[in-house]
Amino acid sequence: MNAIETTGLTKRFRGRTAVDDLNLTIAQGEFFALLGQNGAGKTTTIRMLTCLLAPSAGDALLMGESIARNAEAAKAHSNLSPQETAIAQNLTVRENLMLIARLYGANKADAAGQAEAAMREFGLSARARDRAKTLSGGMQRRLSIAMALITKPNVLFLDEPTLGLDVRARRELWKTISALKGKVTVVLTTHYLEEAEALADRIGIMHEGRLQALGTAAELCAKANATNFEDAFLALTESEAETEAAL
Amino acid sequence: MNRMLALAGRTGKELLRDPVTLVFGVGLPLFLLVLMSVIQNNVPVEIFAIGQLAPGMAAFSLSFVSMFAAILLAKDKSTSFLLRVFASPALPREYILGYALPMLPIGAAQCAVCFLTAFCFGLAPSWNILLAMLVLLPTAALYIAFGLLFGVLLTDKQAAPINSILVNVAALLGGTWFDLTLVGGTFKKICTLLPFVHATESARAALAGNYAAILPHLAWVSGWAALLLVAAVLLFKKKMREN
Repeated sequence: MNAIETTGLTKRFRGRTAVDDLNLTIAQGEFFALLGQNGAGKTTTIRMLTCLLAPSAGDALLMGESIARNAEAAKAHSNLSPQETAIAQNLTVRENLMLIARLYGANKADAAGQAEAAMREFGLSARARDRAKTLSGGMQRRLSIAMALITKPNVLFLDEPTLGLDVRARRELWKTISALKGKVTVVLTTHYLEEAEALADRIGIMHEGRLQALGTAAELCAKANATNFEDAFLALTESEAETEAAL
Repeated sequence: MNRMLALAGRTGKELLRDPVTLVFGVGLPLFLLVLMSVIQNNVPVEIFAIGQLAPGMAAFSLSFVSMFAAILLAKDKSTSFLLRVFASPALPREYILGYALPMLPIGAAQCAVCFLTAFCFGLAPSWNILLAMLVLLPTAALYIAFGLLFGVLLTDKQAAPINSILVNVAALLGGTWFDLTLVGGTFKKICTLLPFVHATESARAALAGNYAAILPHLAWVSGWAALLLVAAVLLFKKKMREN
């Protein structure tokens, strides 16, 4: 069974098509990156796959469960680390982790055990009793990802996890994220091309709501006839209007 | 149930650990209660007699519950914490109750502090105080509904100032600070259509042991509370679908 299978997944907002006929398959354990400029449809895609938005047309199966017909079952298979830090500021690190574990059905005792394990795994044990708002930006993002992983999801959605972090914090978070490879299916959206190139098994490039290109970083470079990934990305996301203007 | 309790626990902790809750929710109403009682001792005014002032202040203090709920919900929207909750298998009723229910004990504590302080200014202990607190439950629900509505509709930067307007409206039109018949006319008619003065009067009637007078005021407040709660729940669900 694939982790994700979308068929004709489409989202329209008052006449504007944000995601257009997306057909995509992601295997279990795969690290998949979704790239695109602002407004390309990445976040809308993630929000449909996490059952936060109902599709206008089409469907997606998440571990075999339809996001349109059985959202509750689909939700139980996935978790999300949103673009913003998305933590409860006045709760401690431990309390934040326990809260998410309980929201996904764990009882208090199990949630406490899962929180201890997550804090060990993500190097947060020393800050267990500190309120989340006192953590640095990088630590807050690490906590956010730990909150998404504490429920042991089959599919983890990371929406711009390193946005706004300084270079050092970003590199440290990369290490944390790359350690997930092979353990869980990861769908990552990012603006940082080097992040996708370094971490992802396959990359999907979205442009104006459509999946413009799909493959490994090397395959995409070859497809665009480019010597580096940045040139490949620019070539693959160049709109018709820009091409005409260049001519 | 477990998910609702987890969310309710979180809401309670967020509020109790925020100094704003203590300063505005308890500090300000207490300060006003003490100030008005001191004025009353020097220049007696009927409306500031402790039997009138204490229930009015208890009703007024509940308006801050709206501010707590709105600020928390609006912040959860802006930080995407709400998105995380929506993405979980928790059901709409579980997270709406998770936000709303912890406000009730906080509101009850605010009322209790008001009445306990009023003992220092001559309020006689009586079972009617408990009745007044019970009668103020729909008022608490009313302000929780206001808070959820504002929290869903407003951004975290708008929530506090807009709620301050509600708190001021509740204070001015609630009949705690001046007798509305002194203004009379259209102003009084508008005041009696709104729930605020009925909240004050229901608590005053309960404290005075004027049981027959409680029900009409209580019905008016309950009607408003039910209407606003339904609107808040519908908007909350709409917000969830729009994410």
